[in-house]
Amino acid sequence: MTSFRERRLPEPATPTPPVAPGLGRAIGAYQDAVVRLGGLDPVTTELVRLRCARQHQCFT
Amino acid sequence: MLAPDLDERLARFAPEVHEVITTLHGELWQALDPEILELCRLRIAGLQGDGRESARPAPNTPVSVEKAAAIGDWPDSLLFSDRERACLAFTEQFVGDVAGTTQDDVDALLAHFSPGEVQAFVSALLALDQHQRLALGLRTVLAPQEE
Repeated sequence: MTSFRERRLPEPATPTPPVAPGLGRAIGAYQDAVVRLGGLDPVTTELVRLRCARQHQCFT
Repeated sequence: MLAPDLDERLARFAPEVHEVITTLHGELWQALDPEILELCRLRIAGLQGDGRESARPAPNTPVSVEKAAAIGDWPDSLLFSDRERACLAFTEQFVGDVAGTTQDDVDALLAHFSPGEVQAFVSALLALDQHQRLALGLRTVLAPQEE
Protein backbone atom coordinates (compact mmCIF):
# COMPACT_ATOMS: atom_id res chain seq x y z
CA MET A 1 0.00 0.00 0.00
CA THR A 2 1.27 3.47 -0.85
CA SER A 3 1.69 5.87 2.03
CA PHE A 4 0.44 9.41 1.60
CA ARG A 5 3.92 10.88 1.35
CA GLU A 6 5.42 8.30 -0.99
CA ARG A 7 6.34 9.76 -4.38
CA ARG A 8 3.85 8.49 -6.95
CA LEU A 9 5.69 9.57 -10.10
CA PRO A 10 9.15 8.14 -10.81
CA GLU A 11 12.09 10.52 -10.69
CA PRO A 12 13.45 11.15 -14.20
CA ALA A 13 16.89 9.68 -14.85
CA THR A 14 18.04 13.03 -16.17
CA PRO A 15 16.66 16.54 -15.57
CA THR A 16 13.57 16.96 -17.71
CA PRO A 17 11.89 20.27 -18.55
CA PRO A 18 8.25 20.49 -17.47
CA VAL A 19 5.69 19.51 -20.09
CA ALA A 20 3.54 22.60 -19.56
CA PRO A 21 5.62 25.22 -17.71
CA GLY A 22 3.06 27.94 -18.31
CA LEU A 23 0.41 25.85 -16.57
CA GLY A 24 2.54 25.44 -13.44
CA ARG A 25 3.18 29.17 -13.30
CA ALA A 26 -0.50 29.93 -13.87
CA ILE A 27 -1.62 27.63 -11.02
CA GLY A 28 0.87 29.34 -8.71
CA ALA A 29 -0.35 32.79 -9.71
CA TYR A 30 -3.98 31.73 -9.24
CA GLN A 31 -3.35 30.33 -5.75
CA ASP A 32 -1.41 33.45 -4.76
CA ALA A 33 -4.24 35.69 -5.95
CA VAL A 34 -6.84 33.65 -4.08
CA VAL A 35 -5.07 33.78 -0.71
CA ARG A 36 -4.53 37.53 -1.10
CA LEU A 37 -8.26 38.20 -1.48
CA GLY A 38 -9.49 40.52 1.23
CA GLY A 39 -13.11 39.45 1.53
CA LEU A 40 -12.34 36.76 4.11
CA ASP A 41 -10.20 37.22 7.21
CA PRO A 42 -6.69 35.70 7.03
CA VAL A 43 -7.29 33.01 9.66
CA THR A 44 -10.37 31.64 7.92
CA THR A 45 -8.56 31.80 4.58
CA GLU A 46 -5.69 29.79 6.03
CA LEU A 47 -8.06 27.22 7.53
CA VAL A 48 -9.68 26.74 4.12
CA ARG A 49 -6.25 26.45 2.47
CA LEU A 50 -5.17 23.77 4.97
CA ARG A 51 -8.44 21.87 4.52
CA CYS A 52 -7.97 21.85 0.75
CA ALA A 53 -4.36 20.70 1.15
CA ARG A 54 -5.45 17.78 3.32
CA GLN A 55 -8.19 16.84 0.85
CA HIS A 56 -5.61 16.74 -1.95
CA GLN A 57 -2.94 15.04 0.18
CA CYS A 58 -0.66 17.99 -0.52
CA PHE A 59 2.18 18.29 1.98
CA THR A 60 4.31 20.92 0.27
CA MET B 1 -12.22 30.50 -21.89
CA LEU B 2 -14.30 30.54 -18.73
CA ALA B 3 -17.98 29.71 -18.49
CA PRO B 4 -19.77 33.00 -19.33
CA ASP B 5 -21.50 33.41 -15.97
CA LEU B 6 -18.32 32.64 -14.03
CA ASP B 7 -16.40 35.04 -16.24
CA GLU B 8 -18.87 37.83 -15.52
CA ARG B 9 -19.10 37.18 -11.76
CA LEU B 10 -15.36 36.97 -11.21
CA ALA B 11 -14.79 40.14 -13.21
CA ARG B 12 -17.32 41.88 -10.98
CA PHE B 13 -16.49 40.44 -7.55
CA ALA B 14 -12.83 39.37 -7.74
CA PRO B 15 -11.07 41.06 -10.67
CA GLU B 16 -7.62 40.10 -9.33
CA VAL B 17 -8.61 36.43 -9.50
CA HIS B 18 -10.42 36.86 -12.81
CA GLU B 19 -7.22 37.77 -14.61
CA VAL B 20 -5.12 34.88 -13.33
CA ILE B 21 -7.83 32.22 -13.72
CA THR B 22 -8.36 33.36 -17.31
CA THR B 23 -4.64 32.87 -17.95
CA LEU B 24 -4.79 29.48 -16.24
CA HIS B 25 -7.62 28.33 -18.47
CA GLY B 26 -5.67 29.35 -21.54
CA GLU B 27 -2.59 27.45 -20.40
CA LEU B 28 -4.21 24.21 -19.28
CA TRP B 29 -4.87 23.07 -22.84
CA GLN B 30 -1.10 22.81 -23.38
CA ALA B 31 -0.86 20.04 -20.76
CA LEU B 32 -1.96 17.10 -22.91
CA ASP B 33 -3.84 16.20 -26.08
CA PRO B 34 -6.63 18.83 -25.97
CA GLU B 35 -9.18 16.32 -27.24
CA ILE B 36 -8.54 14.17 -24.16
CA LEU B 37 -8.83 17.21 -21.92
CA GLU B 38 -12.12 18.12 -23.57
CA LEU B 39 -13.44 14.62 -22.89
CA CYS B 40 -12.43 15.05 -19.25
CA ARG B 41 -14.11 18.47 -19.09
CA LEU B 42 -17.33 16.95 -20.36
CA ARG B 43 -17.07 14.02 -17.93
CA ILE B 44 -16.56 16.38 -14.98
CA ALA B 45 -19.64 18.34 -16.06
CA GLY B 46 -21.65 15.12 -16.17
CA LEU B 47 -20.42 13.98 -12.75
CA GLN B 48 -21.26 17.34 -11.20
CA GLY B 49 -24.65 17.48 -12.91
CA ASP B 50 -23.75 20.74 -14.61
CA GLY B 51 -25.90 20.75 -17.73
CA ARG B 52 -24.85 24.29 -18.59
CA GLU B 53 -21.17 23.28 -18.69
CA SER B 54 -21.99 20.15 -20.71
CA ALA B 55 -23.86 22.20 -23.28
CA ARG B 56 -21.51 25.13 -23.73
CA PRO B 57 -19.20 25.16 -26.76
CA ALA B 58 -15.82 23.51 -26.30
CA PRO B 59 -13.36 26.10 -24.98
CA ASN B 60 -10.54 24.62 -27.08
CA THR B 61 -10.82 21.48 -29.20
CA PRO B 62 -14.27 20.02 -29.80
CA VAL B 63 -14.82 16.27 -29.78
CA SER B 64 -17.19 14.44 -32.11
CA VAL B 65 -20.89 14.62 -31.36
CA GLU B 66 -20.92 10.82 -31.00
CA LYS B 67 -18.17 10.82 -28.40
CA ALA B 68 -19.66 13.69 -26.46
CA ALA B 69 -23.00 11.88 -26.35
CA ALA B 70 -21.35 8.65 -25.16
CA ILE B 71 -19.14 10.23 -22.49
CA GLY B 72 -21.17 8.84 -19.59
CA ASP B 73 -20.97 5.34 -21.06
CA TRP B 74 -17.24 5.38 -21.80
CA PRO B 75 -16.52 2.09 -19.96
CA ASP B 76 -18.76 0.19 -22.39
CA SER B 77 -18.45 2.33 -25.50
CA LEU B 78 -16.13 1.30 -28.33
CA LEU B 79 -15.52 4.93 -29.27
CA PHE B 80 -12.80 5.59 -26.70
CA SER B 81 -9.13 4.63 -26.93
CA ASP B 82 -7.15 3.07 -24.09
CA ARG B 83 -5.42 6.41 -23.45
CA GLU B 84 -8.75 8.18 -23.21
CA ARG B 85 -10.11 5.47 -20.90
CA ALA B 86 -7.15 5.81 -18.54
CA CYS B 87 -7.70 9.57 -18.35
CA LEU B 88 -11.46 9.27 -17.89
CA ALA B 89 -11.05 6.68 -15.14
CA PHE B 90 -8.59 8.94 -13.34
CA THR B 91 -10.95 11.89 -13.80
CA GLU B 92 -13.80 10.00 -12.14
CA GLN B 93 -11.60 9.11 -9.16
CA PHE B 94 -10.28 12.67 -8.94
CA VAL B 95 -13.72 14.27 -8.97
CA GLY B 96 -15.43 11.69 -6.76
CA ASP B 97 -12.76 11.13 -4.11
CA VAL B 98 -9.43 12.80 -4.78
CA ALA B 99 -8.05 11.70 -1.41
CA GLY B 100 -8.73 8.09 -2.38
CA THR B 101 -6.48 8.18 -5.45
CA THR B 102 -4.12 5.20 -5.38
CA GLN B 103 -0.80 4.27 -6.91
CA ASP B 104 -2.72 1.94 -9.23
CA ASP B 105 -4.66 4.94 -10.55
CA VAL B 106 -1.41 6.76 -11.27
CA ASP B 107 0.22 3.68 -12.78
CA ALA B 108 -2.71 3.33 -15.19
CA LEU B 109 -1.81 6.77 -16.54
CA LEU B 110 1.92 5.97 -16.60
CA ALA B 111 1.14 3.06 -18.95
CA HIS B 112 0.29 5.67 -21.60
CA PHE B 113 2.05 8.89 -20.61
CA SER B 114 5.42 10.06 -19.31
CA PRO B 115 5.69 11.19 -15.68
CA GLY B 116 5.87 14.79 -16.87
CA GLU B 117 2.73 14.36 -18.93
CA VAL B 118 0.94 12.78 -15.97
CA GLN B 119 1.91 15.70 -13.75
CA ALA B 120 0.68 18.17 -16.37
CA PHE B 121 -2.55 16.22 -16.89
CA VAL B 122 -3.37 16.16 -13.18
CA SER B 123 -2.66 19.89 -12.96
CA ALA B 124 -5.03 20.52 -15.87
CA LEU B 125 -7.63 18.29 -14.24
CA LEU B 126 -7.36 20.30 -11.03
CA ALA B 127 -8.01 23.52 -12.96
CA LEU B 128 -10.97 22.06 -14.87
CA ASP B 129 -12.53 20.59 -11.72
CA GLN B 130 -12.07 23.80 -9.71
CA HIS B 131 -13.55 25.89 -12.53
CA GLN B 132 -16.74 23.86 -12.62
CA ARG B 133 -17.11 23.70 -8.83
CA LEU B 134 -16.57 27.45 -8.60
CA ALA B 135 -19.07 28.17 -11.37
CA LEU B 136 -21.67 25.89 -9.80
CA GLY B 137 -21.10 27.31 -6.33
CA LEU B 138 -21.37 30.93 -7.38
CA ARG B 139 -24.39 30.15 -9.55
CA THR B 140 -26.13 28.50 -6.60
CA VAL B 141 -25.29 31.22 -4.10
CA LEU B 142 -25.55 34.35 -6.24
CA ALA B 143 -28.13 33.63 -8.92
CA PRO B 144 -31.15 33.84 -6.59
CA GLN B 145 -29.94 37.25 -5.35
CA GLU B 146 -29.40 38.48 -8.88
CA GLU B 147 -32.92 37.70 -10.05
